[in-house]
Amino acid sequence: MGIDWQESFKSAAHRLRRGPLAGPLKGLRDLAESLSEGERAEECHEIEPLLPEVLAHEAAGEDVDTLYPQVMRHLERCPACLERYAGLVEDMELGRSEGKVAVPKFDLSFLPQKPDLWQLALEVQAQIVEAGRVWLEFFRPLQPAAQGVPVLGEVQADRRMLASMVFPKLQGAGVTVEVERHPGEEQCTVHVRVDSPEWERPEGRPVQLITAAGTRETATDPLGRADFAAVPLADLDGMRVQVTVAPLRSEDPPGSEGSG
Amino acid sequence: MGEQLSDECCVERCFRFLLRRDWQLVEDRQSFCRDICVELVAESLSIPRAGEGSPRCTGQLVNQPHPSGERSAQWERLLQRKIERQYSRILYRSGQEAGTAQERAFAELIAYLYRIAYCRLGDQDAARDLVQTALEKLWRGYDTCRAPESFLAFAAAILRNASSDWADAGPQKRTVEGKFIEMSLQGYQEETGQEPAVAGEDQTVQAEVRDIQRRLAGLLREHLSKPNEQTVAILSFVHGMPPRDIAAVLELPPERVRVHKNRALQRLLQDAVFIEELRKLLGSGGDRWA
Repeated sequence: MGIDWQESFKSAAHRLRRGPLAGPLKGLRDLAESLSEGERAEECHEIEPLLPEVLAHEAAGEDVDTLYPQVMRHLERCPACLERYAGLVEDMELGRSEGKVAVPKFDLSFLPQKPDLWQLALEVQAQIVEAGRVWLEFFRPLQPAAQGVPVLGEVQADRRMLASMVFPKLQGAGVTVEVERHPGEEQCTVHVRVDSPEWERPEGRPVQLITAAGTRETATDPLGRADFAAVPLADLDGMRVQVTVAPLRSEDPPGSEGSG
Repeated sequence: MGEQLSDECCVERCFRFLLRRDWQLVEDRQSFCRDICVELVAESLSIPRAGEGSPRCTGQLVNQPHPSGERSAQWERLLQRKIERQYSRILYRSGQEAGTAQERAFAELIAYLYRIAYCRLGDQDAARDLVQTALEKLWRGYDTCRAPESFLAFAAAILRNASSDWADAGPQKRTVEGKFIEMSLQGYQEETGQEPAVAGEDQTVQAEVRDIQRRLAGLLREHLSKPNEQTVAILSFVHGMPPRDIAAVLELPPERVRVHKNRALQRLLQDAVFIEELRKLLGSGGDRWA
């Protein structure tokens, strides 16, 4: 009986492809063709992974009958996959529903943790060099021999202090280094401030920023500030700030360390 | 085309939709919204102003203005799906980047999945456990997502597969049933201007087509008890309408129309009496159909 009616439906659909009634009876032809299809040839496991993709395209108004003819034919004949598709349609509608839902905390420890330099503690090593210059070098605390002080401290949400050092042997000069992150950018601004109670004016002190990308130099303004914009966050690791504070006094041996 | 591109109303609606969804991953919202509108225009879907008639286009009835004079609900839905698709791409990409972007992507994904799970299960703890399981599965199968624009649907499918008893879950399942609009055949013909028979053909042919359509519609009414399946089947098989047009007429999402149509098909396939009746109907045409 099955083969018999399927053949007659096929034959009727074929006849309806041409002739004066082909247009107005297109729907009837589609029905006859759909019902006359035999058992589904493809397996559900081939179709199932495609369903989200098909749904996204169909929901966006695309012609999925042309884009995914095999899936569409399968959905006409396979109740299990059709119900899967229907369930997904309903789930997506639930996801779009409005109204507040309080979302609890989830454990995302399965995600790989990428080291975020912003979150990393950067250690600093400071040194007075000849000609009244000091340098501060920042690095991750990986090297066991590294000397330095953990200096991370929140200034503001997007501004973080990297170092605040005072050099008693250099007229009590103080050097502060802060980084300011710009939301959504992988770059930051490095703010350096240099001052001393013994100075009348802190302006005009040369400040160098040395990173993997090269050396940039500027001088402090009347408030003792020197800013370096657009420094890649990744360059903070290994960055060196060099400040010419004052002429070295004769009693200061080169290489003596500042205190944090 | 130029007018449509600069349609501030489209961008504004897009923008408001984003705000309602609270999707923080979209940083440059203005440019995001403009891209969506350009995409709509590229697909020749014109954007009618309120109360304005619109030309036929790809979706034919998609642009029919709503009786209230506002843009059609179908147009609004299409716009939202375009936004969703674009957002899925962003979500997918951000989820791959380790670090802050990934955290934000997962936070938004969690909010989406948890809403589904909670609406389905109606229980916070059960929803939380299910989403946790789904998230880990999602991460393991992240690379198997074939199309980033369908990432939200991909995630929803994983959530569904993570639950063994999903199908029976939740009293709230019923609340998402779309509003179904009964549509008379006459109404559709008036709206599309479609005549039931070929214009210009002789009266006998027209009468025959009408008779076949009437009998087929009667058969479908008799053998399909669910009104939504019945109406979609009549519009599909009696009038030969594609699902997208049926969706526009009934103000239903096209994917729902697809489900109704295929459920109807499968029901008819199991109905031996219907098959026999249809065979008689198909046989009645004989060689005159060819």
